[in-house]
Amino acid sequence: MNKSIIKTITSDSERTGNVLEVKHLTVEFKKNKQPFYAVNDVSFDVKEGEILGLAGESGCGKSTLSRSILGIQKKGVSGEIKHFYKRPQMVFQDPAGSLNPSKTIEFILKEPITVKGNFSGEEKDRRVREMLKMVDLSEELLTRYPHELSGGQRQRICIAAALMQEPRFLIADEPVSALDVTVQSQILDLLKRLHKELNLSILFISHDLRVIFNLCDRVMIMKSGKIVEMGDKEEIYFSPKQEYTKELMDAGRTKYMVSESKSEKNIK
Amino acid sequence: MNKATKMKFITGLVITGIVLIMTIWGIIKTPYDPCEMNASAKYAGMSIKHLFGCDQFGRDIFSRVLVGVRETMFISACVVLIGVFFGTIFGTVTGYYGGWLDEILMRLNDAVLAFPSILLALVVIGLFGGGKYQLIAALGIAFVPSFARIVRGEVLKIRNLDYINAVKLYGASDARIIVVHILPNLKTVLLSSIVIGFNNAVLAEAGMSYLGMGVAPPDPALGRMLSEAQAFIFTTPRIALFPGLVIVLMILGFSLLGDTVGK
Repeated sequence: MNKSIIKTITSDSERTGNVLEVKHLTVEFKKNKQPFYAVNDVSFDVKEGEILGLAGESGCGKSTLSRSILGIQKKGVSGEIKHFYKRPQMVFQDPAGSLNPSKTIEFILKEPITVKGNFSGEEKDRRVREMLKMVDLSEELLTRYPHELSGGQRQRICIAAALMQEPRFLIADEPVSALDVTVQSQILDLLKRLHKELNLSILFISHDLRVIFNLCDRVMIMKSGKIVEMGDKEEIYFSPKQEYTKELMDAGRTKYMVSESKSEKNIK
Repeated sequence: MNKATKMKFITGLVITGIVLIMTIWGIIKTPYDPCEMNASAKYAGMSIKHLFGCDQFGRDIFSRVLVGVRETMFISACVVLIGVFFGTIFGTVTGYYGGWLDEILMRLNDAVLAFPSILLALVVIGLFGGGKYQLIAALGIAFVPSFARIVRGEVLKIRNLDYINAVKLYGASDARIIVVHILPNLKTVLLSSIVIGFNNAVLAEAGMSYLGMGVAPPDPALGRMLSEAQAFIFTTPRIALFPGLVIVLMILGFSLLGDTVGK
């Protein structure tokens, strides 16, 4: 049933300029025998080369949405999901749980290209080193284990591992929520740079409105399983149409970011 | 590890060390043939010649205890090995795939667990006859469910972790996920349950040989030495004392280790 929901279209003729098209996606859980919709009839596209932000309060279905897009969540999923590139990857919220504790960093980074692709040992070494350089980590880390790394380093390793198969589409599910503020901004800068260098499309999920404003091109606002509002970030942030978006923006005190964004534009 | 656990661990290590030395001694050479009867040494007391004295047939108790420990260790090791091997296979498959297979195997597991392991082993021995290898098979089967349960619980926990999700997104096969990414992470949980399982196996083996099953006479087994010495418990308690003491030592050592290992 699920195989038919997620389709991967790789022929050039069918490209629509999107990396992902989601139509009428619904995820249904059973809660005390009552149906409960974690994601309720959600449709959206992720365009090639953009960073799409997905914001919403905790428990509104952001993670369930991202997991069902990639087929990690399989139970109760219905709708249509079209991928236009093979093997999209994901960066998870908790960098401690997303690295195998009994493997070295070298093994973890090599795993994606060991599983798929025919690379010689030397070639794997070279690619791992290149990737480490790309995420600004030293080669000394290769022989270490995940628990010997700091939170920021771990998240960099997670990003590096996700990029080893050279995906064109990446889902980042709250990748900075478990990190402190200075490390957060480093990781965000890294994501921004990788996005430009690798022409990577990203679906960026966060409950932090400032972080999303900083990084994304377009924004979706989600509430109890539904997309409330969707559009360019300036529009959503400074002239929200829906009541919930207004509330959310007030709570996030985003109006103080106006001057910041304008001054940024002036510099450009 | 705090101070109290450390003391427990060290005590357990020392006791297990003594047991291991006895095992190796039993493997290499015993002072006397444990089955050799010597009419002139019947009920002989403790001396340099006979360290633990002799039994009602004039057999050297020290030699018999050494061989008994060796046999118990061998049987327990085999039992635990069987339990861990099949328990890990069943536990990983049921935990990873879930569904109806999990349901069936786990209900079967519950059924086996509902019987005390000794009773279950008695049934198997009743069906296939007594003897060392039958005992190993019987106890081994009885030990599979507990290991399967422990492994299944751990696999259930691990398979939902994000690093397994990440590896799935790379396109890795189920076999690779299980062998490369799940099994190595079971070692902590398996280590302590192996030690505790070994402890239970020693106890079960002693119990079975006390009931007259397992190693065939006249070869010595700790449990049977106890039951044979019962007749002389008031006249020559020493004959029962030493095999009993060794069983206590073995169990104490392993349970101390089992409590503290991995902490």
